[in-house]
Amino acid sequence: MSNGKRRKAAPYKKNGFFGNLWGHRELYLMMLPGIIYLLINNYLPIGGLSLAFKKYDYSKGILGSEWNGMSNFKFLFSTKDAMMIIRNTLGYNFVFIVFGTIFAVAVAIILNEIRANVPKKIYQVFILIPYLVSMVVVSYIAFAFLSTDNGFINNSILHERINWYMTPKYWPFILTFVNLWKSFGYNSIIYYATVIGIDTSLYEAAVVDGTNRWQRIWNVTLPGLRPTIITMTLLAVGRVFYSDFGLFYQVPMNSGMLYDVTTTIDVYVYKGLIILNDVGRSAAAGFFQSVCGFILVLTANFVVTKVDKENALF
Amino acid sequence: MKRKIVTTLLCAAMTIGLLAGCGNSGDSGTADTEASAQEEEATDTKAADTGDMVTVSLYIPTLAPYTDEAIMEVQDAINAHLAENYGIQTKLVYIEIGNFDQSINLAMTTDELDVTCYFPENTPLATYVNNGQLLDITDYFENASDELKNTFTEAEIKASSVNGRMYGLVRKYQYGGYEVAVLNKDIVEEMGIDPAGITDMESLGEVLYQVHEAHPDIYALVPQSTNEMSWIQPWVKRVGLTSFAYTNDLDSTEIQSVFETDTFKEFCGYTHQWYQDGLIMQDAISNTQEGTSMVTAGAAFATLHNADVDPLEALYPNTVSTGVIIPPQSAPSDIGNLQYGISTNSAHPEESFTLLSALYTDAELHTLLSFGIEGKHYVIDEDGRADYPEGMTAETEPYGGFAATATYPNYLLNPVKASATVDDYKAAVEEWSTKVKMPAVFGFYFDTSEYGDFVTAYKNLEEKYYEPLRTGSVGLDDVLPDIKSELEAIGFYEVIEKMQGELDAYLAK
Repeated sequence: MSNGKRRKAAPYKKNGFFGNLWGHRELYLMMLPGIIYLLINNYLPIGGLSLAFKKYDYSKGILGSEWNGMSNFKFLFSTKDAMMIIRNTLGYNFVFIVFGTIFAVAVAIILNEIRANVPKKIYQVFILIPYLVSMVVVSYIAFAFLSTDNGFINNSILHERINWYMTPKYWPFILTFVNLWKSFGYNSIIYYATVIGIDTSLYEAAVVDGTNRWQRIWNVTLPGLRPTIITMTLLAVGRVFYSDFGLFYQVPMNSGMLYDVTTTIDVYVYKGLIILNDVGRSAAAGFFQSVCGFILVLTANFVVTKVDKENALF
Repeated sequence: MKRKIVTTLLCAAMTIGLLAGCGNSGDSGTADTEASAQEEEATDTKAADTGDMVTVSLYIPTLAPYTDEAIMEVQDAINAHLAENYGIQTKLVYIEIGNFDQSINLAMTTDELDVTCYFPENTPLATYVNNGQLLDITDYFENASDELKNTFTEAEIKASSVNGRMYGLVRKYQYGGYEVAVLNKDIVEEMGIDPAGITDMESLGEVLYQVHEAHPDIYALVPQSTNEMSWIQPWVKRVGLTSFAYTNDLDSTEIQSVFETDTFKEFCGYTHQWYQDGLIMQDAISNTQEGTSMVTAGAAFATLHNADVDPLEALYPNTVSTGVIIPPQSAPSDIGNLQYGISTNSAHPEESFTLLSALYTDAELHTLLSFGIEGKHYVIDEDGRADYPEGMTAETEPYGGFAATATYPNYLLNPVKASATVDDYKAAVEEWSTKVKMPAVFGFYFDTSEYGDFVTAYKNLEEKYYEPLRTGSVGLDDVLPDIKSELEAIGFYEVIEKMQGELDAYLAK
């Protein structure tokens, strides 16, 4: 470079590991910050998983604490609450994935159909705002709607006194609505980015073929979105054993009578940790969630591979 | 070549920046009140002045705002006093009370924390002990000065002990309380209500119905705090220092589920009827406000409230208190619901105990820690009482300790505040202690270390029903069959049976 000539890309030589390292030292140096970040934040903490199999003693530390086998895992399964918290976690996530995807894709397509640029940008900003609002704030917005005495729904719509925070049957719908309202903006923008990347000549060809708008969506837009939908769904499937703590703890105002429909694994573990200070049990719950998520991602990806190999994640 | 050098330098800077971030030893999430970089710098300077003295950290929750500058000033003054009298130094770590439990749990995994406040009301003392978090200070205490040993009553020593070993020192404070209702003064005067005539739930109910009829636009009764209907109740909680065992009253030694005690049933009978008749706010279970705030503002007529040494009228303007609804009493966990102890991971246990001991016996040190610097954060008036400096209030005074005395180890050592209704804290607390009735089961301890799963399951069950029933939002008769079957499913009755056997053996001794 210093002599003004572009250096030819060096062909890959079998110089051994260190030879290659030196040969591409600038590139490796550029990688270094990222690698260090990954090691510290993503790989070092994996060692902490051993906590899931230990009775953690603060005075002995992680390495010095005694092993206690699978005892910490019993915490999640030893009571009658086990079925309830797993049902809630999986059930809500399933509903969120299905409705979330449909809703976000629909909004992305609608956004794409809007031709005027200024309104389109305004809509994009407005639908993104809920995603940026803290769940604590959301819980108070929900309270403003659902308050028995002063809530908007009781006073302005129904004109009757429903005690929403004491009635579990409404909450699967309320939580689903709040989740969709909060997350659809962000997800729809991801899908919208894919939609605008679809080759416009496909639409032009479809117009020449005499298709109407609905047919173009069905035959061009949706197939174009399929890889993104599959990727997003696979990522979501990997987290079906996790739940949004704020959604399930803050939005129902931690109302006791709603526990049967609002307690998920994360909420249960949080309460256990607060009462017992036992990080071993929390580590076990996290381990369980990760392993189950990992297995589910592998399974889902395997199914995708069988159906449509090109769109599989790996 | 230049470009290569710039690229290399950039990468190196990024890498060093990344590693520099990892080396930050500050307490994450506590930066709001902890003097951080400035503090470290000053501590280092101070350390240079004080030779090889050991620095012991002291973790305190904040109930009021503290500025970093004020904390630093007070810390410097304390360190000058400590250097002269004890040969140690301290580092004050103030943490917002909402994050306090989580923060000290994290800090206790390292040697950053030496001496700390902790709340056995939130996390039972036995849990801290079973987790190996608190240092056994029995030997230190036995070899301590008589002044320190005489500071604590037998009951207080028992409250900071597990299986006969001491793990902390309880905060010196009046414990327990009696129950009254705090009423809106304007309505009381307007309707000619006699507050002293209200001495039980029946007489309170009669007045609530009258007020509801005259003022249907306000709540007749609201919870004391958020969704908690009252802090004092006739049934006895935390038997054996557990979170799940109750007795019906102070004299009873029969352990029960709270939902099956007669006193709970009676209380909930009143509140449910009042709730159905529209006397209690319908959103009581999701309420986020303090009852007294609503009463003071005229949004509610009454709230149940605990009281002790200081009259409530002095705390809440535009209110008047009723007669005593529940006489002075204490739960087994009331003594020592705030304690100070030493982390097992402390690198300096001896120096930590020196500091801990001094906090309970050295009036100058304690006043400095809790009130701040005289003339700057508080003043002594002509009557010898402590007050805010002229022009300052609880909101503007930079060192919040004056407004948060309850969080410090021994406020009996402090000068009496100008706002106090007593002349001598110590005499007032001792007099109060003679009036408070202790439960028959006080002193009994049940080891729950093998019942972690049960304790969590029970906690969920109790949270599900306890407050909805107390606020009257749900009728006990409607849910009692469900509660019983859920208690049975989590093995409650087996645990209670075992516990009862141990309690009987304890009482027989």
